[in-house]
Amino acid sequence: MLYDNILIALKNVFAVHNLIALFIGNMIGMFFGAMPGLTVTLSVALALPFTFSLEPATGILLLTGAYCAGTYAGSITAILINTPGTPSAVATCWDGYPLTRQGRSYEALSVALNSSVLGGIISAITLIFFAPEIAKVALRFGPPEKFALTFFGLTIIARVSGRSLTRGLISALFGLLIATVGMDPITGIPRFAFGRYFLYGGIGMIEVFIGLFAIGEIFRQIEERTKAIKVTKLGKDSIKRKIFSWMNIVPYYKTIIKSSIIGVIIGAIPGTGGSIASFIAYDEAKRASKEPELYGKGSLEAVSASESANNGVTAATLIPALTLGIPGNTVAAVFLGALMIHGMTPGPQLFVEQGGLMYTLMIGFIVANVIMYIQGLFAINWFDKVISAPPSILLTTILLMCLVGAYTLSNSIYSCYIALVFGVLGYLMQKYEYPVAPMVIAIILGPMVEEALRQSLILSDGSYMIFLIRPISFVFIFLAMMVSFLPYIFQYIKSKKR
Amino acid sequence: MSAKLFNLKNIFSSIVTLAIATVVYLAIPNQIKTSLFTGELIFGPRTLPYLLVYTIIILSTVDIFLEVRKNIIKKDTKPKSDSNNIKKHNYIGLLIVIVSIFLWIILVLYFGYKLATIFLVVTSMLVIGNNKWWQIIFLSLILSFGFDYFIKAVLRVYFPEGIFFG
Repeated sequence: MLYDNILIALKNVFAVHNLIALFIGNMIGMFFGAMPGLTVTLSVALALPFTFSLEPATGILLLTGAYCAGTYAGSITAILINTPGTPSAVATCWDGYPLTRQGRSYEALSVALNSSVLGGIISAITLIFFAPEIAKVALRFGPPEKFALTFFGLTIIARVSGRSLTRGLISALFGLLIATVGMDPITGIPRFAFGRYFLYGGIGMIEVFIGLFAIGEIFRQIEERTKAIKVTKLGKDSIKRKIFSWMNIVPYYKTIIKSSIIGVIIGAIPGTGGSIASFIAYDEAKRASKEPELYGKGSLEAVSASESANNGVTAATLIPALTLGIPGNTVAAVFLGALMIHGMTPGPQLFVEQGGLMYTLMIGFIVANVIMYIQGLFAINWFDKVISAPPSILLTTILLMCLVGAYTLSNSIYSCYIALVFGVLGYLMQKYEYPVAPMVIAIILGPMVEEALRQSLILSDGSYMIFLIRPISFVFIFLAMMVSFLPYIFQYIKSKKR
Repeated sequence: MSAKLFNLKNIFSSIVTLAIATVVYLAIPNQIKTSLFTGELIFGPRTLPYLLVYTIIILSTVDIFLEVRKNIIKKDTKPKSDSNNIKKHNYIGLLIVIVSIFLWIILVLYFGYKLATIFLVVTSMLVIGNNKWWQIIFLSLILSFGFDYFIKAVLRVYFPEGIFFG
């Protein structure tokens, strides 16, 4: 069965049209990842509507390419102009830019690219081997366990994604409330439809993603009067251009492997992401380094640590998403949305029912990293031109892509209204420091939460004790409580000691 | 207690979430009807929305309380002067762009995608700060006619043509 699925996956991935999809996805990701202020999530959310007319495998591979390349590309601007293209490239800035100022930008870019590719491949291999095993365990979960797991997942995401737990939770609860819009799944009674037929089917999650991530971000940039960026020209490096070579990373192979594993472990925990992984890996690399004094002043080892860690997260993030149906971060949430739109239900059954497609995705990650390497070699030379484009051209083009993308979802102008409303909401949430991630993930998980809660209560004749008497669900509820209250308890003990 | 005592921005946002949750709570009986058989269910269509709204109300109240408490603790420390680092915000421009998008959605139905897009592109480029007319004209044409052709040919999606192109 496993070998059958792998063979199907290899056939899918190496089909010419799918390789082209991976190539285009990589290009989209690289463009958005390298543009400061534009995120990987935005690139995946914007590419999503354009995959609807494609076969599921082709569409998923296009998004995979966008995700991998977007995560890597953040390092290009981090190294060249000291502006991380993505939040996970912040740690790369600390050493990448000093290297550029020393005239060693090509070395830094080469190490960043090679480390990213290695980190991404290690992450993909982990996904291939671990995801099916976790899925086997998850198959034993009943409704109370599923509810407790989603409850735990949402709590942890709310905890880590903003400045306060209460705001994270409020964001997640509003997400769950938004997910209740439309027909009730059991009785068929419309909820919060306000007499509008287009709301009977619920609020489309992709319109919500486009609004919250892309349009909200554009509004923020317009409000803050974002200016075009001045770029350090690559051609004016004081030393000769060095050829991109794998030899550049040989001295740091231990750091890269360790950082990739850190990325994989952190990526598999819901609510975390590339930023946390790169900071921890950077810290660990510095601790173990023979030259810790170079960190922050231009260390190639530091660049390799942060880049391999943030790309190590990419495939690992999908482990809880694919096996348990719990998206670990916003990109995984968009991926889950894509799977649902292509007719698949995330969760352990996915590996039984759509094994071939799942392995296509996993092997696609490896191939996407190889394509990313080839594209990266060529792309770096014209990035200085792209990132210095006037914001008026860039933002207007993306804004129109958002509106067109929303329209293409249902051929309905109402989708554009939804995208606009959520764009304003996304902007306001950023402004008032409400994290967007818990809301998005709650919108995805909403139907699953309600179904699991209802089934559990039917099983227990309405008693909420069912979540505490079953061991697995008790463990998840207990962990959720610990995640929520432990920091406050520690804070209290600390203040008492003082 | 002076108004400066509180970080109004943070408290205001919590009050807004509290108000929204209250409005949703009041709207539930009107927006989620019950039928004869839903009354017999352990968990009806209203239960989850009610649970969520109650929790949001509690959390918003807690957030307001925490913000007030935080500000009372800090009342003796004077806020640092930030006069040298005042950021200029383009709220009017943002409002114009939002209204333009709203108008684009309406105009698309009557004037078609191409004309509505030209209007949106010109407005947003001027608001963001581009005065180069050749860039504005070039991008308007690319995003209206070029994009329209692309989505028709590749995605097989058709925007309304409007009264001029229909």
